[in-house]
Amino acid sequence: MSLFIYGTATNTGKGFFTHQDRLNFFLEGHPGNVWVVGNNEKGAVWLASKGGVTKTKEEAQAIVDAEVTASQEAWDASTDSEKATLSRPSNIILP
Amino acid sequence: MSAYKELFGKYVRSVSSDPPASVGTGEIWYNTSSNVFKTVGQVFSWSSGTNLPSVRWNTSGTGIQTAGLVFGGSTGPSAGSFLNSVFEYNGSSWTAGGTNPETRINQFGAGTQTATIGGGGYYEPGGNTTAANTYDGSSWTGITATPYATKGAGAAGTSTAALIYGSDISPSDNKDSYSWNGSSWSEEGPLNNTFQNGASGGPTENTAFAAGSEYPGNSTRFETYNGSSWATGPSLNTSVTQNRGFGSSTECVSVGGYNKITTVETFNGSSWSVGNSMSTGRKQFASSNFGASGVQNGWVGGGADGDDSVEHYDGAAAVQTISTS
Repeated sequence: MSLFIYGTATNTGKGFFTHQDRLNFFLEGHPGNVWVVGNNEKGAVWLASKGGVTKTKEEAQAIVDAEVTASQEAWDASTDSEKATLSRPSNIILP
Repeated sequence: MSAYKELFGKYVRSVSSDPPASVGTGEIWYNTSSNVFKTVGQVFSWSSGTNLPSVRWNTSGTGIQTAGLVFGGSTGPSAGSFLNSVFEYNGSSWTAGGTNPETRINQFGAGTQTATIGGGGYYEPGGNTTAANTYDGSSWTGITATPYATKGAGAAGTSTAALIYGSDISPSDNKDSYSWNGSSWSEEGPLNNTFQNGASGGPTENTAFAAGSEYPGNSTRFETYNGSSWATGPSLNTSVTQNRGFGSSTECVSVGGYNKITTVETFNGSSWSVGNSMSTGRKQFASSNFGASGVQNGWVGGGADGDDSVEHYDGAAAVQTISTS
């Protein structure tokens, strides 16, 4: 069994995840509204209750990659002084 | 060694399932299903807060979760996206505050929602600045310029008694610390190590701390200020930069950092330990830093190359297994 569930869900703000949720299951958000959720009953229920759309790890990684690429292109187009202030977004490998 | 019954007047009970945390507070019991002793302790973790009104990179924050303030920053990497907008937070919603006189990223910030000091930072075109302002809950007032231009300086205290320290501009200034007494700046004892764009905070200038982030990059350093000099404390477990923090010199957290990590470390007055991680990796983000009640009621939001999300940091009663380690 996979350690994680992958999905997309829009962070609606307060109440999206609770203190208890964080104690019940692993939760990690990434660009593109991608969430990596601990693969247990409570994690699965949480993702479903948030209107989440389950993705394969490869699908989730592709969404994140597209977002990161767009950020990197924006950074590459910035001025040298801006580049000196803001570090270039790095690639993200989902767990 | 005294027996548990002699101390508490009752035996350690054996149960097959744990009582709710609210019932088990103050008790120790033996769980016969898992064959371990358990009790109820305060566990700190994160919950989602109300999203910021917009994405905010390299923004600044002060106050606490129920009375927070965010100012400056940008909506992206270009100078045209720099912000002078200000928003106040009550733990449930963000409302517009008085516009910041500066349109900059990486300003220092310290204080409460109604007694914030902010200043320095980077702007385009031009560079870094000595401009500083105080916020009273409705508007900003310009104050005496800081003795040196800052970007990513640490800060502690309030609008009437503050400490600023470090910067990531010039090697000649990034150990400096200066106090603000409400009318003028005075030179204070220098940091032992350079500091820039890391975790800082404290409710008073005498309880300031600096964690991580030496010039020009990662560090495990931790320093505390006692009102006259900086002392080097226990090191962080993870070398980090662009992290943020809140609390005081005796109880604080270091949160996130380059390159958008979720790592959290907590300091209990004597050592650092790994805490429950954030849900979203962040670097150069806004956070509370006042910490009059320790790290309870902390918040973080936004961040470079990030989103508009906000997370709250609180302790709550939870069943814990007792171990000898």
